[in-house]
Amino acid sequence: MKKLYIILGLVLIISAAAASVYALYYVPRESSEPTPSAIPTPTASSSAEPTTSTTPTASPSESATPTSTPEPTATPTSTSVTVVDNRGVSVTVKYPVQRIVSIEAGITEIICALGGEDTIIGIQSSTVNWPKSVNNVDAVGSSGSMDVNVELILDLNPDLVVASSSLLNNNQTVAAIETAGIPLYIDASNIPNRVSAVVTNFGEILGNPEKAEEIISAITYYNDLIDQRIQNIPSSERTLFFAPMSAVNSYAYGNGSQFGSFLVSCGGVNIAENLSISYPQLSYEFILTADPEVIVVMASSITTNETVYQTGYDTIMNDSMLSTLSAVQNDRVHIYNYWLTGGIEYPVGKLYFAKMLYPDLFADIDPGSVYQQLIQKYFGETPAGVYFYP
Amino acid sequence: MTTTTVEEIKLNYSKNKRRKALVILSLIIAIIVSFVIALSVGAGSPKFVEAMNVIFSRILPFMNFDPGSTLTQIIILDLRLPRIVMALVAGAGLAAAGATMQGTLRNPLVSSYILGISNAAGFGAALAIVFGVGLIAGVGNYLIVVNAFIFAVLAMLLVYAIARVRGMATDTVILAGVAVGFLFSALLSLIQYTAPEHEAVASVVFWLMGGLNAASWTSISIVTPIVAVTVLLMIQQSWNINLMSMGEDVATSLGVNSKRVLGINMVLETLATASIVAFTGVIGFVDLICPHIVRMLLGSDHRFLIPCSALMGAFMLLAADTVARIILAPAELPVGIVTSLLGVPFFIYILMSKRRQTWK
Repeated sequence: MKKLYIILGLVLIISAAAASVYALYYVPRESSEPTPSAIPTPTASSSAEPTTSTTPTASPSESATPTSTPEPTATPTSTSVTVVDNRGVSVTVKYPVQRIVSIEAGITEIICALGGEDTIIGIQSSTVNWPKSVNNVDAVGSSGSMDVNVELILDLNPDLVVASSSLLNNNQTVAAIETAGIPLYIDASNIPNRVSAVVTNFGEILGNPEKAEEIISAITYYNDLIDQRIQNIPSSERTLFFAPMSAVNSYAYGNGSQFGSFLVSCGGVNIAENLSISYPQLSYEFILTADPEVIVVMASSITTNETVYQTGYDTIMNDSMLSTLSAVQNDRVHIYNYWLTGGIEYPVGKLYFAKMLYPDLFADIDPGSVYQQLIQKYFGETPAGVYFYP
Repeated sequence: MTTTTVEEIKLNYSKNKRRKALVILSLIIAIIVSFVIALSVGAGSPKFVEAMNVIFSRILPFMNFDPGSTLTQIIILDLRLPRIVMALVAGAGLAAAGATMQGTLRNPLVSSYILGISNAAGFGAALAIVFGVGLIAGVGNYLIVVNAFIFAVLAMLLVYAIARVRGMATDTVILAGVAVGFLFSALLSLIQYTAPEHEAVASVVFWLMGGLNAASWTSISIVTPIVAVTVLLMIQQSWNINLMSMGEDVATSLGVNSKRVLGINMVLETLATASIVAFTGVIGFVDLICPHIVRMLLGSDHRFLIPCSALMGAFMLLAADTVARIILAPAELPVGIVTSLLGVPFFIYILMSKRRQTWK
């Protein structure tokens, strides 16, 4: 009998652990599965939901059209727009576009900044940073791009599906979307060099090229500002940085990595610059010998909660292996938010990182207030919490 | 059999004894040589002479050896030396635990992870890395270590509880271990799949690859006593394991309480492996292969098999870690990759060149 209690107890503990992990990241979905018998029902009910959110906006008369006729071909479009995505594929979208499913959070932000929030009818669950309200839209998948429910996407009957290239690993999903005749736009807003192209494309798609111009000119302004200030720094005086992938190991962003080249574009020199591996595990001997002046690590979760940043900072400052480094001795250890490295917010990230590398050159610039201004301008919202620490 | 005389048996015995002494001696020499090499190479500048100077300036402070710059001292004393010691301790502990469990469970495929330990430890570490949560609060920087250890022990308790119900049969232990391993591996996948951002998942993958680069004197001072005590207790169990490997019935008829021995060995194995894995991440292969290599060289007498496996494991992990450190310098390879890449050809060579049948 005693044994039985032991077993029961242990099974309970394990299942509690499993349940808590699952509960933490469980995404409630309005399932369309229970009605397989009647085919028209899910289309009608699911498309009814987004319409209510679309009605209060600019084009009430047009948004009524797709609800009554789920067939995309049934609505004769006077024009269409063709843009080229990151694959080099020409994507033709009907104009004006009304129903977008975007499972690329950075592009969702760009669409909203271009005034297209009302066209978004499906996203990845609560992963979009700005505007916060867009996270109320139906989720068609949870955070990993692999985890997309293609049935939910098709049920929403979108005019356009936007995704990152990781969706291409899922052949069946791609095939289903293409078979349904829905255009698929693939891009990478996490690559800073792609952001302007994405903004231009969606300016076209949403019929708002002026706003796109405005956003791009802001991006160009800050890029030029940084370039002008750092271009005359001789290579011998450039700041040497070490960008570990996490505060708990010595894997680093190499020059071939996204973030590594981002920091180089901010004027820094990577201690791993001569390595051909994109994400090398650096030997501590090498790190000590190279003696980086700055250490910069991403916060261990995408949050604006200061405690998370503080923890990462303390982990590095108290790491006995790193204690002799100039970066640690001079207190030049920084923790940043994922959102600063890509998407429409990357110029702010660039300002933060450039100021981190060259505090004197950028003494007059307060990236925090630039961030406040941009977010206010694009989304009418005010950022709170921490994006860069300290 | 018919012509064997007492003299021949005696001769055979002393021959065997010499052979054992020779193997032990060559293992010790191999360890010393690789120790010196490991101390002399690395991504940093210090080489053999500087390394020896630093070491001797500490051991014999009155002899006026030049200790070199602060950086040299840090590299030798705080990076290379702890790492070498950790490789020796971890390799010895894992291989001894592997030998003990293979003998106790009478199964050549058993590694020290048979009780689901590696997957459970991985799950615990992933919980800490991805969500920052643990079963014990306030351990700060050791959250990953503590979590990995606790879940490894939890897995063992689970296997033990299941096996107890079925009267501690060896096959139940193996099956329950495999099942519990799969349970934790599924939970681990669940975390990786649902984790909110990719960086944390990458950290989990790196943790699972294992590595000794985080070795510090603090971690050594925790792991070494545990490994030393558990390995000594395993060696103490070697007569019992010898009898058990002749079959449970034989062992019982010779007065061995095989259930008790199995239980004790499970606890010893878990303590040794869990404490090592918690600090190094999952280092595979050493624990599976070293006992086989030693068995091929020396036979299945666990009085020799367990300590020699420990020596072999220490040597193999140190050699593999040294290669892992220098082959891509200044980057490093996860040591698990090297142990397998170097260990497998060596193992196959011994397997093919050896006439002796080691498992009946």
